[in-house]
Amino acid sequence: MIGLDSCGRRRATAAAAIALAACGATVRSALAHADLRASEPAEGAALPASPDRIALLFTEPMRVTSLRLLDEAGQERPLRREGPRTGAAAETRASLPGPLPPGAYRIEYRGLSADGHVGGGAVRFRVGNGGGAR
Amino acid sequence: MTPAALLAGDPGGGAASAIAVLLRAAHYAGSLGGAGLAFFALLFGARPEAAGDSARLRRWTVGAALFGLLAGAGHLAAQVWALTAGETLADAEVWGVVLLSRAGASHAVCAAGLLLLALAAAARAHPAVAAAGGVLACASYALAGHATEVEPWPLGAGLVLLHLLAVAFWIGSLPPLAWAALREGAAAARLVRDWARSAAFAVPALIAAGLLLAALVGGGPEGLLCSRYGAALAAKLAPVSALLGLAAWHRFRSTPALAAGAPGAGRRLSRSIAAEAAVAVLVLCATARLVSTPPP
Repeated sequence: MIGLDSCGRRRATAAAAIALAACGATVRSALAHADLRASEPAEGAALPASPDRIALLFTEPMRVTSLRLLDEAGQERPLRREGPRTGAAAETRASLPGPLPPGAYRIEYRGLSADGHVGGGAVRFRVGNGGGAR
Repeated sequence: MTPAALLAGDPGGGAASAIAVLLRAAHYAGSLGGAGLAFFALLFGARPEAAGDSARLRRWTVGAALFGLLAGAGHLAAQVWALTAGETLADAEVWGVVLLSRAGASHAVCAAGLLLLALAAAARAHPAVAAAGGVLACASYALAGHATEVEPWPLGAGLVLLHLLAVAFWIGSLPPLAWAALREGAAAARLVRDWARSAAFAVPALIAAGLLLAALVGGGPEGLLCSRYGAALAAKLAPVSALLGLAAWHRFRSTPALAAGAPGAGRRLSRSIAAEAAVAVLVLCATARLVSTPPP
C-alpha cells in the first residue's frame, strides 16, 4: 500500500477484515430478548366474567420467575402455575383456583431472557361491567 | 419518572433493576480497572520512570480485582432480587436460574480472571500472568448480553473484547499516570508521552468497535433514533464525549506543559486525570444502563 509502512498496512488490513465481516453481519431477531407478544386476557380487556386461567405469550423463550395477579387494592390473588417456574418457554400459563370478583386486575411478571437479561412487564384487565382496565 | 425508573434499564424494573445497574457499573469498574492496572504494569511497570510505583500498582490491582469480585456477586444477587420482583434473595430456584444462565457463565469466567489477577499481583508473579487474568475478565463480557446475538458470533465477541481491552487499558492507566504526573520532571513526562502514544492506537479501536457494536445491536439509525435503547446510547455518548475532550486536552496541552517543566503542570495534570476518572465512572454507569436496556 503506497504511503503506509508495514505497521500501517497491518492495521489497514485488520480494519478492512473487520469492515468486510461487519458487512455480512446480522443480528438474530429480537436479540433473544423475550418481549410479550400476546396475553390472555389481552391488555386492557374488559371481561364479562372471571377468566379461569391466564396466559402470557412471548416472542422468545423466557424463564418467568415471578408471576403475580394483583387486584385494584394491590392484594395478591392466588395463582396455580402450569409447568416448571424455572424452565424457558415461549408461553407461561396459570389457572385461577376460584372466580375473581368484579374489579380491575394486573398481571405482573419478571423473568430472564436467553441473553441473560432480566425483563418483565404488566397486563391490565377488568372483570365485570364498569369501564376499562386500571 | 422516579430516579429508580430513570436508572433501571428494563421498563418497569423499579428499584431492584436500578440497584442491579449500579452494581453492574461497580463490577465494570473493578474488573476493567483491575485488568487495566495489570496491562499498565506489563507495558510500563518495568520502566525506571514507573519503578517507584510498583508496590502501589500491585496493591491497587489486588484491591480493584477484589472490588470487582464483590460487585459481581452483588450484581448476581440484585438479578435474583429483580427476578423475584423484589421479594427475596433466598430463592434457591431463582439463584439456580441466574447461575446457569449466560450471565452466570460470564460472571464465573470473570471471577476466574479476577482471582488470577489478584493472586498474580499479590504473589508478585510476572506481570504477564496478571495481564492474562485481565484479558480473561475482559473476554468474559462476550459470553452474555446483546453482542451474543450478532452473527457471525466471533465478530460480536471480537468487537466486545477489542472494545473492553482498550477501555481497561485506558481507565486502568489513570491512577499510575496521575501518580507519575505528581512527581513531575522529565522522566514523568516521558512516561505520560509514551502512554499517550499507545493510547493513540487504543482509543480509535475502542471507538470504532463500540460504534460498530451499537450499529449492529441497535439495528441502524432508524432503530436507534426512536427507541429507549437509542436514548440510553445517547446518555452514554454524552459523558464519552466529555472524556474524549479531557483526553485531548491532556494530550495536546497538559503533557507538553509537563514536558516543558511548566510550574505546577504535574499537579494540574494529576487533578485533571482525577476528573477524567470521575467522568469514566459516569460512562460505566451509562454503559451498565445501556446493556440492561432491551434493544429495538
